[in-house]
Amino acid sequence: MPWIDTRFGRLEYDESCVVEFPAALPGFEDERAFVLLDRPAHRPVLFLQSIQQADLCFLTLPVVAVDPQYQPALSEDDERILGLEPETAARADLLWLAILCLAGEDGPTANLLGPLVIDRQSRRGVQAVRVDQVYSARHPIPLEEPASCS
Amino acid sequence: MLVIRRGRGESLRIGDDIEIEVLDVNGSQVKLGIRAPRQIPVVRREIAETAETNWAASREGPIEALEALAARLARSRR
Repeated sequence: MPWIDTRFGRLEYDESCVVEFPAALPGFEDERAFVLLDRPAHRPVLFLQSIQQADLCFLTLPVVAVDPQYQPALSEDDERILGLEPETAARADLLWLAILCLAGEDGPTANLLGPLVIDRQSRRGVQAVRVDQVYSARHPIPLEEPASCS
Repeated sequence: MLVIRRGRGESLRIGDDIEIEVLDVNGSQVKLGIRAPRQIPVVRREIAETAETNWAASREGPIEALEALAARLARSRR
């Protein structure tokens, strides 16, 4: 089984779990293959680990965890990259994830301008950057403390 | 911001070696042709912004920050 040494230790992965990003990610034009890791200790955060570069691992959250009203939008180009027919773009196999940035000055933010869209069936993904200027690349992550019972 | 009104087939120059031409106008969309030296990157704004955000996101913070975030998210979901 192939493996990679990540910040969480050695990760063995199945070839069939690799998600291919045919168009790579903006800023990381050589990165086309990642594995999606769900680590129970860090839920609901999901990790997108590069299989070429051990120290490249994006933290992500489902877009609806960041904004429950999030309106997905996929351009025709991105549908083509995923190999989808236009009318199937809303189907349930698509996973919509926002990349997190923890290092920002204003606390943790999520990129809702360019969500990662992964087709769980074909294991293909794309960073679907929106042109409609509705969402920000640095959207604050809602972190409501639970109401205290005083 | 400098504002210049241009129509189809008209162009403008930035410095000596960058030229931007309006090739077509169709409703709310404008088709631009850009002539610039190879070393000048020309990128759609939202793609550049996404690349910058990806770089920032790839600089992993301390693992404690991640653990604190995951714990708060798990709490606020309850």
